[in-house]
Order: sequence, then structure tokens, then C-alpha cells
Amino acid sequence: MQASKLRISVLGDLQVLRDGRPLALPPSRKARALVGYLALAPRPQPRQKLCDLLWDGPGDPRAALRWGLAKLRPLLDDEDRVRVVADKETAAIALAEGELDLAAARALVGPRPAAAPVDALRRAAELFRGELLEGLELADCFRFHEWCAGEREAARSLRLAILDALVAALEPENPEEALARGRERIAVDPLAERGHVAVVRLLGRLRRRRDGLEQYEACRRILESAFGTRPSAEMERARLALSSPAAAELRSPPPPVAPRAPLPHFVGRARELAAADVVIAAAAAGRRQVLVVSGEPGIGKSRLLDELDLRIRRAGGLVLRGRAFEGETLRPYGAWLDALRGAPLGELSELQRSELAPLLPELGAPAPTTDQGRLFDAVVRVFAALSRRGPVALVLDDVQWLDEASASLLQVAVRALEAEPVIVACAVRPGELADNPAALRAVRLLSRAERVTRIDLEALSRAELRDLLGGLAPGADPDSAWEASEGNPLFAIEVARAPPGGGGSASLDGLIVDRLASVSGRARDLIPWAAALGRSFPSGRLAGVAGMPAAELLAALDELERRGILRPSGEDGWDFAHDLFRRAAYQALSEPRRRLVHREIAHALAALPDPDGALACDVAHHAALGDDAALCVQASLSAGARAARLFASAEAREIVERALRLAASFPPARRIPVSLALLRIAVDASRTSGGDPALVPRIGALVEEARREGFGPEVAAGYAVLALAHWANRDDAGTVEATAVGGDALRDVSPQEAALETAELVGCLAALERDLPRARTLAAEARRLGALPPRAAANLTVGEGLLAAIDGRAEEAAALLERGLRDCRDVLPWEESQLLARLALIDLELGRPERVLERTARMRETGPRFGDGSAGVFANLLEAAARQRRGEDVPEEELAADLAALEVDSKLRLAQAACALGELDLAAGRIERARRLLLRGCAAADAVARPSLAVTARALLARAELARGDRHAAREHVEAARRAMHPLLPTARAVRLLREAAAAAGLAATPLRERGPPSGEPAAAR
Amino acid sequence: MPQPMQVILVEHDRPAPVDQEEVRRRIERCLTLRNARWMRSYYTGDGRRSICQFEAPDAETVREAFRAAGHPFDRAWVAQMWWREE
Repeated sequence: MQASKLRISVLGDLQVLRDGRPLALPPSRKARALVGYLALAPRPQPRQKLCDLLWDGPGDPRAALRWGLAKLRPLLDDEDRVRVVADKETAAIALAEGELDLAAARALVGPRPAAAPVDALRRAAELFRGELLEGLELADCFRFHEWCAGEREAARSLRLAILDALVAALEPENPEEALARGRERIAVDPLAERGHVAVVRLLGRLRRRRDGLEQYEACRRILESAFGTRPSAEMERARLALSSPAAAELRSPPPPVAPRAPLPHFVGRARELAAADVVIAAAAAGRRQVLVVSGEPGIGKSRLLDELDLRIRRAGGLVLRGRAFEGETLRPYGAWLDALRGAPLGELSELQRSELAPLLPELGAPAPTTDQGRLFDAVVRVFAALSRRGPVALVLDDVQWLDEASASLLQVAVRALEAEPVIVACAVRPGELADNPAALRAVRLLSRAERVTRIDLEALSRAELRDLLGGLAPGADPDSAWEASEGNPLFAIEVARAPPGGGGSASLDGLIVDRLASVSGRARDLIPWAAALGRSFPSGRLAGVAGMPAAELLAALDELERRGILRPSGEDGWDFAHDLFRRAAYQALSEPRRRLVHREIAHALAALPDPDGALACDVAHHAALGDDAALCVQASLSAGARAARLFASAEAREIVERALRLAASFPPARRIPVSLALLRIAVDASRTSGGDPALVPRIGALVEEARREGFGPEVAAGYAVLALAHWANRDDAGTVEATAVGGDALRDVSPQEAALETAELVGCLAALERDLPRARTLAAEARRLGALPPRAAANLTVGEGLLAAIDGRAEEAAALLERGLRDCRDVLPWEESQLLARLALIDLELGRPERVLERTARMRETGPRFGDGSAGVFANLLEAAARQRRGEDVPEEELAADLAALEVDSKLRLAQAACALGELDLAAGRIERARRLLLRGCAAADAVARPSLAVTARALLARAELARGDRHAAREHVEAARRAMHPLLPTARAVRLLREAAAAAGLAATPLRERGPPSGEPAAAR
Repeated sequence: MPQPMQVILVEHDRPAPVDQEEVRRRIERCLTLRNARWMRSYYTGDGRRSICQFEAPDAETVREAFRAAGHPFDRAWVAQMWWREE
């Protein structure tokens, strides 16, 4: 008898079917569990393992297993086919292909469901009746339970992947079925937002607006109750698309009804193609190639790049294409973004996606980038990763319009990808390079790179032109076309297409203008919008700005395509067939019309969601051309900030300057705050190049104006920007000055606020040892204000205590800080740990080690409560110092871990501990140890810019060197300390130590500038 | 001389939401003086919990800036980033 068809189904409640009919299963749940487990196990399972899995406990597990297997045999075995295979050691259920539904589902969709054919996905989806081994719960078999939970999760993930793939595959052609699958997905995983997003989107496509909004609401409620979150940006976009289809991006347009205008078939250029083939082969062999194609407009550069694209793909390579556009020189990385979006981004690792996300926000949460170099590295790494699978080509067209950021990235990429199978191919119009210094530099660098091939395209020959026109315009006269065009292909094509009978223009531009003028009706209405958009565009965007219903739009696009004016670009975009068409169409518009069109485009774009600010640049651009100063300035804030974030400094500055020019006409109440915000962006952008001193007087002028107008808050804000500008210029003194004076400015606005800021500033300056004369002046002024609010009073006392410590008045400092400690307890409790540490250091200095232990005990209690991450560690080291002060020798190993912890967490404390312990080691004659500690302390003090500690450490190091007998080294340390001495002098103690060390090393005393008087009287009074 | 910078995260749970702009302004002043800067912040919808990211030589620098600005926090620590490699 033939073996009948057996099937085990685990994707739902367990079923065993023979010839399609379900068999009666053993009533024992454990027997059923045994079926499920063995059916899913990839290999025979040890008997002991099965016993532990299902029969763990008293009784005879092995006998129970034997009994269980015995129940399974009549169920699963045939006369000539044994499926339950068991020996003394192991047991298994041996299934053939197709006998297990889960295996069948996996086989249907393969390792990547996203790439599986729709039919296979459908069949696989049908196999899922429910959860894996649904209902099969064995409460007391925890091992089985664990295993089952894992398998259920895996099966669920597979199901979700299949459903996601189905939704994606069906959405364009069959949204109804996609919707059904989308709903199925939500049923499987109701908490996952992406399922809801897909359904809302599909309902939008099907014009079921109300259902879509209901789905949105349901999702919103679920997210709130389950996670306490709100819907994501993606969900909001889907919801927006429900309400205004014109503003949403349309998917790819349905196929056109009329035949398309044929693309010119490739003619001639044998030499150039041969060169291109050599480049492709060389790249495949693993060395980066550069190809620069130059020539006049219309000579066929882009067409050659198209042909190169085709050949590279045929050779198994990946082509990433980007283009620069004339009006877009302010869009940072514009050409690169287009190219990167053509890469298989879904296949990148999560790390790579996060590194690219600052440029391509759709990739998710961005990794922090601290400088341009890292961002560029991330792009280079992605290219290198992609090139591991085969040659990768970056093809950039119209490089003469490249923005500066793109040009920089191009230069870096060409250098960094030297040893990769990469082709960098560019097309450039040499005549227009002179206007763009950044692009000129980039092209020059490319031309001088290693392994560069230059192709200067020349006119086609008469025979070649005849061949070209023969395919495109069979009725035309190739000879007269050749004469008129002198072999320029685009010109010749236009001549050939011009209506016969003369009366047409003799120049290429003229012919193009004639062609545009010959279009009528709705198609003609579209042209100004398409021209003003300035670059390739998705049809949805054109629909949104032109306000044309979808059906009319598509008919119009079709006609323009048939006439060879527009052509498809990318997946669902359009562009002019040649840039000259765009230019001609744009120039045909009157000035007032242009402004109107740009203004409309700006407003339409501004209405779209733009969480990352990527659209803001376009909005600002169109608003500027549309004379809408308010919108341009508004959008420039986002656009400039984004450019600064992406380290596209030149673009950021230009955006800012343009907006400032427009804002000049605003009334002061608007102009001043917005100009300050713009200048702040300029400051941010200038940081990567070491600041821009020219910004300082401009900000200062605005601050002055704000002060004259009586705009208090703007004055304070302006000083904050000024402080940032000084900091970007690495001007410490300026930073402090601006910060301090900014505090003054607040006084007119709010005296209470001002008192608090002044007191805080005193504390800040004293702690940082900056601008001490000013700190003392401010402290004296604050005291004169009389009764202060508690926080200000506490801050001030602490500040005065720190100033006293700096001046060497240790006892007074201790008393003030003790008072400060009491004052802070209620209002600034988080300061306690700090103050205790300071007091402990003073105790060490004053030779009171016993008091240190009181302080450290309290530090350990209070520090962690207020987020002091290194309180415990520092307390350990202070205690060690106290012990050493008392004469104990604390081994170096005991300190090692704590010092290492401070290295990461608090370099200031490391420096303090190193100086305290180092000094004690010196006194006790442990010279080498002292040296090691003090070197570390010195480095740490430099890292956090604390001159006193650095000078102290060096002075002590000098003494250590002297103790070792190395006078030369001692002098070097003293000199280094003197060079590092800040114009704002370090503490009295540091100065004294240095003087002593200098004297001991036999160095002449240098006259150190006298420090300000300790009492706070202004220096001029002395 | 430019010093190596670290990523510092600061966590804060508070009973009531705060004016984020005002907080940022005050802390930024103190950060600037210490050669540190704010990078980004994550807030819960109700403004009560935040995680803020800074760039600074060490964690204590950022803690100092917060304390100097009179703004409490729960924890500040140096962060290393780990990613899943596909």
C-alpha cells in the first residue's frame, strides 16, 4: 500500500492529518507536546532530555516516555514508512518534505521573505491558522514552556515578516488585498505601530478617509494605554495623507496611455565607451577609478553616463546616481543624498544606518556626530561595505553646480576609497565651473587623482548624427541638422524635431523655446511649476503645488513626456529632458509670474511635515525667490540649523546671510530676536573652522540696539550668543566677559533674577578660577544688595569661600564653606558633596586629617543621593591621603582602581587627589610614586583647564625631579608651568609652590604680576 | 590644545515638568564656560523625565554645570555606545 499523505500542522492547534483528514490525537497533553517537540526538533533528541522536558518529577519518566512514543506510532507510522524513530538513546520524528507546515512555510518564503514572490507569500500566509501549538499549555513543565515560548516567538516573527512582505508587494497593484493582510497583521500584533501605519496608508489609497481616521484613533489609544506614547512621525504623515491627497506623495503613476517619446539610442563614441570598459574592468579588479566627462551643454554627457550605468549593472555592479542642480547650491549634500537613497539601505547594519541617519532621517535615530570627519567616514564606510559584494559606482551629473559640502565629501571619498572596487564618475560643464570655486577645486582634485580617465566629448560626426536622427526623426534631413548644430546631438535633435517649413529659430535655445511654446492646454500650465521647482520632483509634489487634480496631471505629464520635454527620473519622479529646457521654460516666465510661482511652491512645501528640517532649505529657497521674506526667514532658521548640524558650514552661512538681508526690513521687535537666532546658527557653523571673529561685532551691535530699545530679554539672549561666539573663537576672556555682562543685563529686567545670576556667576568663576578680579567685584556688589533670596545667599557664601581659598586664606575659606554648607542644605542640597570634598582638601592642607573622615563619611551618604557619581571613589582617596598624613603608608595598588575611575568620571578630582597624595608622597620620600601620580594629575588638570592644579602639579614634579637629582628636568617643569600660567593667575598656593620650586632648581625668579587685592576692592584703587 | 571629548548622559526624573528652553539657557552658559556643550535631549511627553546628552571632557564637568545653574539631576555618567552588528 502506498504511504498515505501525512501532514503535521503546528501553526495553530496541533493537528495530524492523513490525506487531508484530521486524526484523533492521544488525549494526553504530554503525548501531544511530544509530537510538537519532536516534529520541530532538527535532529534526534536524547531520551533523557525528553524525560526532563515532559516528565520531570517522581515516578518513572523513562517508562512514561516509552508509553508516549508507543501512542505516537499508530498515529504517525505507515506500513512501509516509519516516522517515529527511536533507539536506546534517542527518539525522533522523521518527516519528509512537505509533512510539516512550518517547514513548508519557511521553504516557500526562503531566508528573506521580503524578496519572495507574492504567490509563495500568499500560500505561506494561508498556512498560519493561529499561534504555534495553540492551547497546548503544560503548567508544570517549565522547560517545555520555555522552549515553546521561544518557538512561538520565532513563528510569530515569521508570520509578521510574511504579512509585511505581502502588504508591501500588494500595495501598488492590489491595495484591497494588501489591506486585508494589513488587518491580519494587526490582529497578530496589535501593539506594533507599523501595522497600523500600513493600514491607515492603505485606507488612504482606497479613499476610505473615515475608516482611516478610525484606525488612526484606535492606534493612538493603544499606544497611549500600553506605552504612554504618542503616534510616530510616520503615522502622522499617513494621517495627513488621508486629509489632503494633493499634499501627499503619489505612488508611481499608472502606465501612460500614449506611446512614449523614444530615448535616443546610443550612437558613436566608440573610443569613449572603450575607455569606460577599461575603467569598469579596472575597478572590478579592486582599484578605485575616477572618470571625468566634460563637454558643452547638449553634447551627450548625461547620455554617456546612462550608458556607463547600464554597462556597470550588466557587469554586476551597483550604480548610485546623483545630480547637482543649478538653483540648489545651498542644499547641503544634495547630490549625495540622491545617490545614497539609491543604495540598498535596508541591507545596511543598524550601526551603519544610524551613522547615515543625520543625512537620511528616514533611516531612524541618528548616531551622535561630533564633526564632519566622522560623518564623512560613515559615508565612506557604507561605500566600502557595499563594494565588498561587487564594484560600486558613484555617478554624479552636473558637478559644476555641486554645493560645497558635497564637494568636500567627494574629495574625501575619492581619497579614502583608493583600494576599493569603486568608480567615481562625474559629468561637468567646464564653462560654468569658474562660478563655483568649491566645485572647481573638486574637479581639479579629481583630474589629478590616481587612475583618472578624462573624456572630453566632442561633436558627433556627420555619419554618427545621421545614425542618431535616423532612429528619432526619420523624416528629418540629417545634413541640414548637422550643419545647423555642428554635431551637437541635442541641438541636432531639436532641429530635426522642429516643424518643417522654416520660420523656426536658428539657435538651440530658440528651438527649445519654440518647442515649449508649441505645447497647449493643461500640459502648458504645468511647465512653469515644473521649471520653478528647479530639480527633479515626485509627481505628488507637482500636483500639490500646481493644484491640478490627479487625472489631469497625469494626462499633462504624459503629453510633456511624449513631446520629449519631460522624462521619468528615478522611481516615481520626473524631470526635464535636459537642463536647457528647464532654463528656457524658467526664463520664459515674467518676473512677477516667477515670484508668484515660487511663493506658491514655498507655501505648499511649508505645509508638509518636516521633522528633520530637510525640506526647510527648499522652502527658504522658494520663499526667497518669491519675495516672501517672513517665510524665508522662518524656514532659514531650520535650514541653517540643519546645515550647521551636518557640518555644511558654507551652506549654513549663506542661508543665514540671505535671511539676515531679508530680515533687515523687519521692525526691530521682530528683527532683533530673529537676527540673533540666525547669528547663533552662524556661530555654530563657524565652530568647525575655529570660529569667525567677524561675527562678534555684529552680535554686539544687535545687543546694543536691543538695549537702546529696552528689550531686556533680547539683551540677555544676545550676550549668550556673544559668549558662544567668543568660545568658538577660543577667546576665553571674551567668553567670561560676555557671560558676566549678560548677567548684568538681566538686572534691568528682574533684580531678583539678577541677584541669583550674579551669585551663581561668582561661584562659577571662582570654581573655574577665571577672571577673579571680576568675581571679587561681583561678590562685593552682591553683598551690598543687602538681604538676598536664600539660594543667592548660599551661592554667594560658597563663592566667597572659594575665593578665600584661592587667595591662600585657608582658615577663612574653611569657615565660609562651612557656613555655605549649612546654607545649601535646604536650597542647594546637591552642592553638599562638593563642599565636603573642598573642606576635606583644606583640612589636609591645614594638617587636620582627623576631620577628613567626618567629611568623607557624609560625602558617601549624600553624594549618591544627588547624582554625584564619584563621591564614594573620591572619599576613598581623601581618606587614603588622611591616613598618609598620619604617617601610614598606603600601598599604591590600593589607590589604583579609584584613580582609574576618576580618570573617566572626574578629571578635576583626579588632579586634586593626585596633587594631595603626590605632595604627601614627596614629603615621605616616595619619589617615584609621587612622580607617577603628579604626571597623571598634570594631564588631568590640563584636560579640564584648571591652571592652579596644573601649576601645582608641575611645581611638585619639579621638586620630585630635584630629589632624584635631575635638575634639568626640574627646570623644564618650572618653565612649562610658567608658560601655562594663565593671564588670570592661579591660586596663591600654586604660585608659592612654583616660586619655591624655581628657587630650588636655581632658576631666577620671574616677576609674576601681582594678583588683585583679596578684599574685593577694584584693582584701580591700589 | 583640543582635548578628547566624551559622551555624557544626564538623567532626571522630576515631579513637575519644567520650561525646557529656560533650563537649557541657564545650563548652556555654564557649559560654555567649561568647554562642554549640549547635544540633544529626550523628554517624555509629560516633560517629567529626561535624558540629555552632552559632550564634555568628563562627567563631573557636566555635573558642575548643572549645579552651577542650580538645576538638579539624578545621574550623570560617561556613556559608551554599543550597537547590534548585522
